[in-house]
Amino acid sequence: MTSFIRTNFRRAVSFGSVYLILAIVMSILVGGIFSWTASLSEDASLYVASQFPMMIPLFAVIGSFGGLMVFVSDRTKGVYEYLIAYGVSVYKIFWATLLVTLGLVTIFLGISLAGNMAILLLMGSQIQFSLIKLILIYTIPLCYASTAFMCIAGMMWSSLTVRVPGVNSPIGISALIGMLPVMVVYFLTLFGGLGGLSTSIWIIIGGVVLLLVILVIVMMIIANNKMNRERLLSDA
Amino acid sequence: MVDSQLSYSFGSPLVLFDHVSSGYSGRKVLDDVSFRIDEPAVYVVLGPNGAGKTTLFRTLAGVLKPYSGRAEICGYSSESQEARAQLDYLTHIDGIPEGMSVLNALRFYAGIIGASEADIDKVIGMLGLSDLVAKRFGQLSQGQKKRVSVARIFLKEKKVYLLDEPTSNMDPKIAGEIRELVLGLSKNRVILYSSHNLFEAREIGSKVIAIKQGKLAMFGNISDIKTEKYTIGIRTLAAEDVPCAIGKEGDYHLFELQGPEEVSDLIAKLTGQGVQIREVKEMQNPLEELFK
Repeated sequence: MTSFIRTNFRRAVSFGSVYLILAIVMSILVGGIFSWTASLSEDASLYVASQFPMMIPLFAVIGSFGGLMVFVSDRTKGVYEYLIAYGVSVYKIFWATLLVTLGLVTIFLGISLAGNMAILLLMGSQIQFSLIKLILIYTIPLCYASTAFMCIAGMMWSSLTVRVPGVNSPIGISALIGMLPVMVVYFLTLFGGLGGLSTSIWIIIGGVVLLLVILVIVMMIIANNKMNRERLLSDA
Repeated sequence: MVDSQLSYSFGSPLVLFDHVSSGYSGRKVLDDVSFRIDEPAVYVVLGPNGAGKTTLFRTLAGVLKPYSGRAEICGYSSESQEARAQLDYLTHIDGIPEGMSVLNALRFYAGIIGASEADIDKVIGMLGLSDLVAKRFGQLSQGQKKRVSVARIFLKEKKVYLLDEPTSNMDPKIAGEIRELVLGLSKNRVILYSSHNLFEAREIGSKVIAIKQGKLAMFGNISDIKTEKYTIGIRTLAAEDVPCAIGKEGDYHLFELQGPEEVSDLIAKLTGQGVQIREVKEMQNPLEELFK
């Protein structure tokens, strides 16, 4: 199982490299714009600088497509028929894909946050505690929760639908599914208070993250108990 | 010929299919199929497209759960880890990621089944893959892909092998080599080998499991299959007339024989007369006649 995950992680980085690089570049670019805007006005610096950590989960969803791409490709190519015949369960395949996706999020977050912090410092802004708090309580949990949700929903979609080649690829659907909770939290945060630092906003963020985690766990349980092995067979 | 009255009193056959119905999303593809295999040999699973050959393999490999009945390998339920440890399965599609190098693909599967680097080196030599190991799987020709795919089943020795059309998309030379390897495997092992080519079936197997519309049509000796008419086409290197041909269809000179067992004699006779043969193929599928 470990070698399977390791191999698939390498493949996911390779498969999804374009998405990963684009997501990192875009997140740093957007973060840079926010940092530059914040540097123009001292009054608005906290509010504007706090926006970039809230945008990062959107890019994390895009940057972690590689895991799901490997899953869809392997299903189409009949790899899972072999794995199942060798005794690998549907649950293990789902779990491995989820771990690979979360690994991609870690790469994305590491580079994106480091890049954004560097730009913030270059612009002459200080890294305030509230920003660190926002990253720790908002950005990182939402990145992991939304991409995990995107990944499992994409695997479910891919496994349970009868596919017409090129028409209902789960990649596009998953992007929307993964971005939806991020957008919901973002707009609730905006409407809930400037900078999203009021107590009620933390409850909303925590609630959404918790809901996503519960949904991921429920879907994993369904995959373990209800998902027929035939669902992972190639249509070829 | 069909053993439809299997009892539960016998011991542990190498392969047991006991009143098995199986299929997809509740739709039966195999319907109440029963047979048991006690002795090692190549068992050719014959049947026209859509008859249920792949479903039979998937059920035996534990990929599909039977709706009813028992599928067992060496006395263990086909879905158990014990049964999986006894068998290897070559599916009708390659099952290797396109972006992986051949060597990494072999390592990937070796890691899953617990084979060693020495096992990988052995199959690379056995299947003549040395020139391909660094190439990505997606860069290979169809025949080369099949060779790599087939290589997996030689990574570790098993008691039962399920080979779903292992020579499809292969040129005759490579297909012949694969059949030789399979025949080599068959000593002391059970091999279920699916094909819809009766000529190939006769060449490789002695026993036949024939499936017709999801039901067992025949389980017995391949020599028992009789066809009324068997027409083969022979393509030659030069555009010359070939003695004894009854006609021509495209590039193929047509010969009508009693059955596939006469093909070898005909080839020997023609080559003895100086005819340079490029390809031999069945001009109609004799199974269609068999299953009428």
